[in-house]
Amino acid sequence: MKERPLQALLVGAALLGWAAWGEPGLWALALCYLAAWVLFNWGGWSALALPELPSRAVRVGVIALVLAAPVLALASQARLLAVREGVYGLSEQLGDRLRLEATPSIAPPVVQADRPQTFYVHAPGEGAVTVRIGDAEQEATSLGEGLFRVDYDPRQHGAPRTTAGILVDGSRVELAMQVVAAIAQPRWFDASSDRGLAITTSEETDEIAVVRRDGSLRRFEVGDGPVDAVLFGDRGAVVAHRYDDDLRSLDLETGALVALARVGFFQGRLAVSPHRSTVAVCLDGGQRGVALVSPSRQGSEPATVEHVPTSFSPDWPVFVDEETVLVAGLETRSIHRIFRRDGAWVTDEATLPLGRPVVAAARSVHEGAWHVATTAYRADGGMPTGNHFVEDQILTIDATRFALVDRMPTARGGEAQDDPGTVESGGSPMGFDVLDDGAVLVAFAGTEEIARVRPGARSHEVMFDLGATGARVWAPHGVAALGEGRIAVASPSAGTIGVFGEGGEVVAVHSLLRGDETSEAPQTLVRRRGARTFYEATRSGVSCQSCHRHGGHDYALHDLTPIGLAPLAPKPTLSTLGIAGTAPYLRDASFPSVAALHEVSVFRYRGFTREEPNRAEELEAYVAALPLPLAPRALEGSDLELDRRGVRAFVRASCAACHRFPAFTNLGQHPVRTLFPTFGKSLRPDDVVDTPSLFALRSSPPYLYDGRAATIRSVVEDHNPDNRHGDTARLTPEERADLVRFLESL
Amino acid sequence: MTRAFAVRLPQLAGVLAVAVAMGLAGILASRQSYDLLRELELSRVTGWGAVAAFLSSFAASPIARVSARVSRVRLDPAKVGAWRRGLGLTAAAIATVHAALSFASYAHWDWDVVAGVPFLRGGACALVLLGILALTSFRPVIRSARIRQWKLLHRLVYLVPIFVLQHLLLSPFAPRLWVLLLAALFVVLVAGRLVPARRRV
Repeated sequence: MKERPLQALLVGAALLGWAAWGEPGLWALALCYLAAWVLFNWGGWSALALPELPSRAVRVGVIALVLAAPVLALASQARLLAVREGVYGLSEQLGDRLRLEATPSIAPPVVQADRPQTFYVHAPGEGAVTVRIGDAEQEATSLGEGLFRVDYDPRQHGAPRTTAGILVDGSRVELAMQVVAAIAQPRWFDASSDRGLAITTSEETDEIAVVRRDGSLRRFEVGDGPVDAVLFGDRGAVVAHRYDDDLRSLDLETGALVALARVGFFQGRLAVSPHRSTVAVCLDGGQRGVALVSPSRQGSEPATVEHVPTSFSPDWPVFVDEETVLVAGLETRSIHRIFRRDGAWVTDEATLPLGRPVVAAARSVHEGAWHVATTAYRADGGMPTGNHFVEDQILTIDATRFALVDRMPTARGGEAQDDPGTVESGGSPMGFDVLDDGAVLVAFAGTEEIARVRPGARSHEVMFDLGATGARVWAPHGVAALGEGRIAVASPSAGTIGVFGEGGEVVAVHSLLRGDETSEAPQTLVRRRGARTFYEATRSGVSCQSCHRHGGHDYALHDLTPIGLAPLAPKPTLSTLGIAGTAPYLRDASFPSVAALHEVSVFRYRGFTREEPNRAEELEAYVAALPLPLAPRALEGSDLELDRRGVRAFVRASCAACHRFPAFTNLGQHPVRTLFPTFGKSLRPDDVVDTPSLFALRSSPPYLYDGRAATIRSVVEDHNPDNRHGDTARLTPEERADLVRFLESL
Repeated sequence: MTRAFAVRLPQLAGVLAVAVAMGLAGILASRQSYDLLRELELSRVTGWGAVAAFLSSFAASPIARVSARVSRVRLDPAKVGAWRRGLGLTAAAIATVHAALSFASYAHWDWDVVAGVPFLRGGACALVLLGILALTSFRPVIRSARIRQWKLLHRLVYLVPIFVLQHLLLSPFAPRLWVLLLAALFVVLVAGRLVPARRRV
């Protein structure tokens, strides 16, 4: 037989065998070829006489027909083959990796137009680097080992450009940057139904919005990054700013903004005591805690400030009385109590564990009860690690006794459900207020409803569906009772504030969109729609927000074992903040893009009830624009020599081999068993861990692939028994301290 | 230079290449103070050494064909064949060293990890194929095993670059630009092997 037809027959037989076997691996194809060859060589099949074909064209046609069936069969398995061989979405991975491997390189590749950020540049062998992100050229700070740092603030250095110019050794390199425009995102309210007004902030556009019962709206420009505002006094408000170290008061008549007290940067949510004698400010900078500010009664004296340090990031403070504050701890997934004892504020050692962090809470304690929302609850504080286990619920806490007295799951089906088990109501409770009759007003971001829970009721009662009102108010966050049956609703994803009647009658809808946003409508609208999807509940009740709390994470573990396979280790939720340009995604690098992750919601969580044709792309655009949290060091300052020592320790311990500069990841994947032989023995051999970026590491506990380390120090000192996760055994105690300090500063 | 020596030269060069690769790997690894980096250095140098040898072997035929067409210099097919075989054996030998070192150090003798993780599995497949090709490159073996369709078996060589590229593209440390350049080179060489063959039909 001639060699060429025999070769075709051999390939055809191998492909046919491969297709029949159904094993989607390249190794299987090689084995099939070998098996076919063995049969040809020793099975006597080479004596086969192929029919004489009249022409070359006919011969080619016959060969094509022979090959067609197995090729088609295999083509149908191409996706499975690509996944099995680890090459699914390889182009995205390659793009990001090539960008980081070239030098000079800069990370992150996204620049926000509304806030200060830190960029790292990798330029090995260079002594000086100048970087231009906005209009101004900035001298980068050399940290040694070829790593440079630039603190950029659009207020100081001009609006960002689409390329970053890096001047190295006299030659300029222009690197593409994704510019994220600031878009208005009004979130939670503080309201007074007596006065018929509610106040909210838009952190991204540095403004305060005050909405009134009659539907009118007034906007005030304030400082950099207003994170929260509460009504204070007859005509004023207190405003907390993330990037300003003064707590400020705002005159709602004149718009005058004056400093009330210096409390520090990275201010968070606020609470006002019942008699308005004290304001509690959550702080998440270098010194975490709660600042208790007592403005002087006369107004001429400076306010007194007491700082109560906490070991956790505080959120959602509420005053029980003048001397007791309850506050949610994010990392601890618990409620904590701060109270005044012997004239000083102290933290109660007792806590109220929840199992998951508080997503939202009421602004005040009403008749001794405080309402908070979580995505699950466990009385012992343990993590409900079930596969994406989410059970949206409202917890009622007796604020005086500091005890949980009731919990009410909210996600449920109804008459309109299109499948058994479908959730169509009560998804992602996101905002609370209390109505005049004592009922709790709830905004559900996942199912876009406004509902109330009457005292003693076992379920919520939907007042109106925002989608049915026709108003562009999506995925509501803030809800406020304005009195006389009027309700204000804030939608960060739509950039709107709506005022409605109790039955959903639209009184007014105000758009906070700015001129530059409307002119760039296509890009910003895509992000806004993506945000809506991010908060939207799937038919199973799970949304992206359920675990990725406002784009971040839920400080909890989840068992993500695929159905029918041997168990993987439960893994801590990864933050989605600042992940642009770090493909592939998930702990095991199983998805090449955020858009691809949309499949999870479709195939595992039965998709969405609302039609949205470009959901995956919109979700990707939204997530890609999410900003990294700014490191406290950027505003509070740091000792440059300590930073340099930290970098030296980082390199000396060979951390940079995998957590490569400038993104602190080489985007590579390692089998867990090779990296942690001791811990990994019980794991599946194909369980790989994607090298995570170390940006914002401080705010993403627990650490390591199975969340076994509660702190960064613990990662370095307690959880590297084989010394394969960096050469930490080589470091002196001082160097380890330098390393931990550096990692916390990223 | 006698004909016998000319035929043996590729084998001697191959042995020398294996020795150089191992020596270089040892020297570079000894400069690393951290066990993991030492292991990686050993794997890296031997791995790229195997790639270089395989690439050279794979390039022998196209280079001979191109040189004949471009410069009308006709290389002795026997010599070309000897070099192709010698370099192929060298590639198999260095790849075996690379695999043994990696299996003993990085993979901790854990066969399940090698079989389960795509980039390690790809490397193992490339090694197995190279091993088959190497074992069937000796006349006594071919004769004793009564291999008739030798050429069809050795067409498995076209699967080797696929596994090698998969191994490199997914491995945590290989610089991706190098891998892409290598992929481009393989494509050119495959084209160089196929195009003239078609013209003869």
